[in-house]
Amino acid sequence: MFTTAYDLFWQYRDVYLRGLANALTAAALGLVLSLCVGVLAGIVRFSSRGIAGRIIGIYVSVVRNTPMLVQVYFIYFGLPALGITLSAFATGVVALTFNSGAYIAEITRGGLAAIPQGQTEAAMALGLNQRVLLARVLVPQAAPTVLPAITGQFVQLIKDTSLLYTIAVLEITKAADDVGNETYQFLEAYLVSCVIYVVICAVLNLLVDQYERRAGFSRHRRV
Amino acid sequence: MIFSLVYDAAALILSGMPIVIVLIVSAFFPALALGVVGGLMGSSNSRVLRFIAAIYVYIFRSVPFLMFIFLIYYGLPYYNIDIGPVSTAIIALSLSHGAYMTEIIRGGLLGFDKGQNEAAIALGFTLTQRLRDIVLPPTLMATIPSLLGQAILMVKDTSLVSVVGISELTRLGREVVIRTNEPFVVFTIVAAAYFVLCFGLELVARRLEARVRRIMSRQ
Repeated sequence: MFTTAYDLFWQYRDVYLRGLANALTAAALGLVLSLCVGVLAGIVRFSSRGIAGRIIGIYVSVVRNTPMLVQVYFIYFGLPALGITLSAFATGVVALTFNSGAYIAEITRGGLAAIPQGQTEAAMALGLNQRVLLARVLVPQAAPTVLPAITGQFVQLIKDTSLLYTIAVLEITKAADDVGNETYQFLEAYLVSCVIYVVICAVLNLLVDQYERRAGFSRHRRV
Repeated sequence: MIFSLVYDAAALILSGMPIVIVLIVSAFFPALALGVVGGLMGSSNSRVLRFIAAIYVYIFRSVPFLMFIFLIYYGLPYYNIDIGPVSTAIIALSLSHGAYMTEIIRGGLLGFDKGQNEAAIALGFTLTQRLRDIVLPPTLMATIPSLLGQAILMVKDTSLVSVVGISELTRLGREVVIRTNEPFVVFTIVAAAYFVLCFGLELVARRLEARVRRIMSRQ
């Protein structure tokens, strides 16, 4: 079984590697965009009690309580009814951003909320305004503590690219499906993809460990 | 016109609700059992058992759920085990969420006061007695909110079993779209159905969390 899987991989390496490249591109684009969306949304949610904070609360709750597959279908099939038509790959990136942005918003808010209240009070006593308080006091302290959770989100993004299979983006799962359809060796074809996913996650975890050790981020460094 | 469309579509889509609930109920308990076994292995003194639990969790955390559905769906017939899509879905859900529950239970066991276990050993309790009467009840109690959180993730993962042809909410939604050509309305209804299910579970989890905290602090 495993030797067949290896032969299959070698024979169809172009398909698999193209799938891998697409999945990594979508995940990386999704991460960058959802970091922008999520960090901003998290800060607004943390600091605003008004309508903006409420809207972000609804956004987070909608994303967390509906399956990502439905979100993908909504963007791919539903939005064209409103005149917004996206290609399959673009749909993937938008869906990943929309989905992961909500989780990153929650992570950011949690990181900010975990900073002792005394920091805010001290900053107020020193006469710092809201913007300086966030930019110079709170965000720099929250960043190292949320970093592990955000790298965990990247692993999640890579796993979520598998959903793009349903709208026919050639990613790692679709690659296995294509190879299976051509050779009728479905089990082996899927095994190859499984190994690819495990390898990506292992490499990512190694990189993250390395980076965290280099940067000296640890729970005890703060304050 | 729009109202009758919404009404008809919602009625059709909601006919997929029972299968979702069946899947959740029949996968939750096997997953919990796997989680308890895995959690006990992961926090045991034996290095081999810890390693096995770690590998189990690692694989199921790094490979997408969709992959496991395909592996089971196409893999088991190789060994002449013929199972239908529903069994496939239940096995995949149990195995995959069992890995997450392993981590939850392991975390709960880490918070368990070791002294109680040692006292029970000193009093001559056997391993089964200790697990059943001393260690597991408070651990499970403390982890109930997280386990319910996992059930919410499970509800969301049921949307993926539509790929092997189970007529649950998402698949029915797609079928209704093909008939009505109103994707925007239909997928809003599908999303709303999931939202009600998940948000209801979340409210239950929150209430239980408060209650568990009260009980735990009383001890």
